[in-house]
Amino acid sequence: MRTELRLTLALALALVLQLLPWTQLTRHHGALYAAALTIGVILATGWVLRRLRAPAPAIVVAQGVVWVTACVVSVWRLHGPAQVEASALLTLPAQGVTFIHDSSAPLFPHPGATLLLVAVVGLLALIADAVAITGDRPGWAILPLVTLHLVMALGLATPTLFGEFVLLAVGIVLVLVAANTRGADDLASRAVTWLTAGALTAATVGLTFVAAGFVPPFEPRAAQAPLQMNDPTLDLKRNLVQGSDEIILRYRTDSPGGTYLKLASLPAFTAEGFGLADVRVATGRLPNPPGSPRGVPRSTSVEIGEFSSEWLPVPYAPTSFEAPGEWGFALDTLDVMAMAGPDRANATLGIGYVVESLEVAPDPATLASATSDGGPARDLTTALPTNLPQPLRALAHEITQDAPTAGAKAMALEAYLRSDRFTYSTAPTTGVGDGLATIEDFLFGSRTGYCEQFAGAMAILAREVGIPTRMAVGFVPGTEENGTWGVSARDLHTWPELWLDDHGWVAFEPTPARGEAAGANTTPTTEEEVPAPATAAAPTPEPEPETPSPTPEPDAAAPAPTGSPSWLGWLALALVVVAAGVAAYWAPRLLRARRRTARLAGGVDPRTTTLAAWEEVRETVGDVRAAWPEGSPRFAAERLVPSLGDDAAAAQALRTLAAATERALFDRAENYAGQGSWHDEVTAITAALEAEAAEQRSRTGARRAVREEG
Amino acid sequence: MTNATTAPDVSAVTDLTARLRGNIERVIEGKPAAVDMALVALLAGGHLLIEDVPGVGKTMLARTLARSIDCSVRRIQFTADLLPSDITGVSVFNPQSRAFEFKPGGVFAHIVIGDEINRASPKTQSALLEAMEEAHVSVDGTTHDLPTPFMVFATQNPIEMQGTYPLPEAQRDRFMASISMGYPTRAAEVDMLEHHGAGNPLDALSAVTDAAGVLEAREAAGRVFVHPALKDYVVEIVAGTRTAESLRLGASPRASLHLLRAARARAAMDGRGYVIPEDVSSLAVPVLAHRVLLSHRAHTAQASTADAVAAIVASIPAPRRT
Repeated sequence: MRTELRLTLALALALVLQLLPWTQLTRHHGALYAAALTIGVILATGWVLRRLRAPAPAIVVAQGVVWVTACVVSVWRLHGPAQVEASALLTLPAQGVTFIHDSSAPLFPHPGATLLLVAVVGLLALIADAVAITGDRPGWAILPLVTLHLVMALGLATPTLFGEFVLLAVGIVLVLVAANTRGADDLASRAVTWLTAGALTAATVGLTFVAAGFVPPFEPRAAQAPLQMNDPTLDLKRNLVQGSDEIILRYRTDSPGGTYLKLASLPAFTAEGFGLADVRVATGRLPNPPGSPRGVPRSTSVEIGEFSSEWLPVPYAPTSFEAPGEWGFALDTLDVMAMAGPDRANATLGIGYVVESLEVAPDPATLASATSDGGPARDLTTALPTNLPQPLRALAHEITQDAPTAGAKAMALEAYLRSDRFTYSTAPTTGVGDGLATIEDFLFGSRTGYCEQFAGAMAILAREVGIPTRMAVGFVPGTEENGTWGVSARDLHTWPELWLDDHGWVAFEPTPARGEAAGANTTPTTEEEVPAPATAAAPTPEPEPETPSPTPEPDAAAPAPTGSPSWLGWLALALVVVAAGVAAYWAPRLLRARRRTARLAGGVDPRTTTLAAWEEVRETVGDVRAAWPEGSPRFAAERLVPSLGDDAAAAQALRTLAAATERALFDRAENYAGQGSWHDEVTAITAALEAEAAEQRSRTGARRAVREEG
Repeated sequence: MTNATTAPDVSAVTDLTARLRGNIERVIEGKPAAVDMALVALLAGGHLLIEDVPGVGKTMLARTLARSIDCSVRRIQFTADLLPSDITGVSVFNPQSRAFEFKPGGVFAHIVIGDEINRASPKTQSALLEAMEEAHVSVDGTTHDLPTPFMVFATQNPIEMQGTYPLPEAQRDRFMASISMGYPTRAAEVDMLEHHGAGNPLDALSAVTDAAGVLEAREAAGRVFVHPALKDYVVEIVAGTRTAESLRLGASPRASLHLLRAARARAAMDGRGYVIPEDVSSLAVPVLAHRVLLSHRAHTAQASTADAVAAIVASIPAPRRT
């Protein structure tokens, strides 16, 4: 009885230990507490019902009810009662899957994710309890533990750490030792138990370690590049926070002060933030930049190292480029993107190319007089949600009330955001993304954020005052060394581009920590280099661009599917699952064999030897799936005799052993003078038990066959 | 086994039990459990309360057991006008010796059969019950010892019957065990008609042992070993009756003593020098059920104290490993 409590506690502890690394997977700790609580409640239900001697199916059913209740209650407590109305509840799992698929770890609170987390953890706890304790097969509990670990490892983009394997190992050892202390009465067999448990754990953990290395992560870790950028809306902060200082690309440029390298434009805005819009993709010569701006022609040559993306980093606005591979461009944004191919997501990896571009950097005076009445796709680039909060609207007009023109308004907004009202930080507490809620909190609440919030805020505020905007994702110039600029993952950046008539898309830099914008910097560092557009009385005749051939390939415009894991990874996963299954199947048998040998070896103390022999019979009865009868040894033995078949010798051996066990248990220790070894008796009893069990099975099989034929 | 001080030789007990059982079952047929319980009470030195409707053989069981032992037997028919002095005895002035002489009452015998004990007034009942507890009687300041072995068989009709004074809880606590005979099976009843149709079956019965034999067996039973885990088990069961929701009065510490003594006797009767958990669990209901009182809720649910005690025993895991 105490063994069972010990096993329950060990299992609970082991499961909760596996939850600890999940804090890297979700920042919603309430959901993790709910999951831990669910583990506790499910195991406690099992324990209580077993104490009340409920039949096994009833226990599992009751635990199932508790499981469902825990899922619903968790969502209700953490996300409010509206989420648990029947109609909402049914759609939550699908929402959760979508949310997890569209997010990167650590996840934000989401009712669907909470439901999935509590459901998965609770189900694994239920399975572990049902198998290990209700089903009396503690070895199998390893499987749910490993599963819980693997789910965590698969969900994390970063490589799993040694510490997490230690947690897994500790959990497995806990369960195995708690399960196997029963029957181990003397020090020697206890030592054997510990050693076997240790060896088994080492094997399982080793396999899992290897598996986690092979198994493809949930997010593609393309070709081991330290930085990846396939969905610019998702990967920004993770790369900012986790990205290394390793240089991932180098470039030389004739633009003094380096150049911003732009990857993609995000012109579409919803309450969730800025995102990609449908684009028309073309190949051939690049068209003139929209708005036919004046600028300085620049030439930039880039060598990319460990950076994989389907977008080519180019300075805006590109006029021509030469890069190995198949590249096209979006007609509206001039973003350069890899065309359909087997490995679009890695198209940039290790290539070198040259880009000619036009640097649009109007000086403040010019800017101050710029208007913004035109602009391509104005509907898209000035769209704002109808429910835009009133304070946000008011703020936009308040900041720009003294600015007469669109250009002046833009500069006012930039100055406002760059003022010391706001603090730059990528700490985990800051919000992620440029969704309305995050931006609102950034402007009126925390006043702390990183580039996404600064740029998002400026873009939204500018739209409110009628200036078309879009977000640009790319890199800041990086650091110069002997004329070569090095860019690391930490230089990943986002900034707003505002439409100003006669200048086209002009970049602004509202983020304080990032220095100057590529274009309209209000501090005159590159001003001298920029020829005043006003002096050019007549627009330079632009060469008529070759009509780009629109490519009827809508697929190419969509973001690349998140990496398809290689079949090798799945094969490895399958192998590990099979290996874990085999280990879980054989582990109890190996332990059993060791225990049997230890028990029957005989010891110095006949009393201990007898009790060990009895325990061996008891466990063999469990092995042949028979129920151990109630009562003291003599009564148990009488009830067991039918399970021995017609083997009279075995029955006699069982009675003798039972009588001896009874005396070993309840008589005065000094009165006990039992046999030194029960090897022959136990062997006879075990053989009879197993033979009868086999006989029973074949009889059942035969009956079934007869029934089926009939 | 051979060392008498540590391993009691229980063969004398087994032997005696077999003889007594054989003798009794010639008269009381088909009631092995009741007979067994009577023997346990005899060997454990306790008193037995037999509760049942009239005519099922309560008195017959007591008389058969008494007849099987060669010792003094008194039978007291309890009635509403029975006086305490009828039980204990009375001092009478002897004009010849010019002194008071003690005339012993009905309780002065090895085996006392108190028939329908709940018909007497509480005062008279308590006279008997005090004698049971103290094993002596005090009359006019003089203490008179009762003979040993001393055992009381009390029979009573269920309290629903008219004209009875139900025994108070404190009095019931003095009986080691309470049993009910129950109606015989159809076969046993037919058998009874066949054999007992003519004459009193008791007449054919002869004693198979005597007072000394009983004392010796009691002593042997008292030496039966009880493992500490089993003592814990006894205490746990008795304590369980005190905390159970179905009971408003639990069993006393005296009940623990009685349960342990009964378990020893049962073990000895079985030929064992040590007690096993089943000795305790199988005796819990007869030893405890008459001492406890049902809670109102359990009472309205028409449960019996025997059910309540059985449920408590089932809920406490027996020691299987020590």
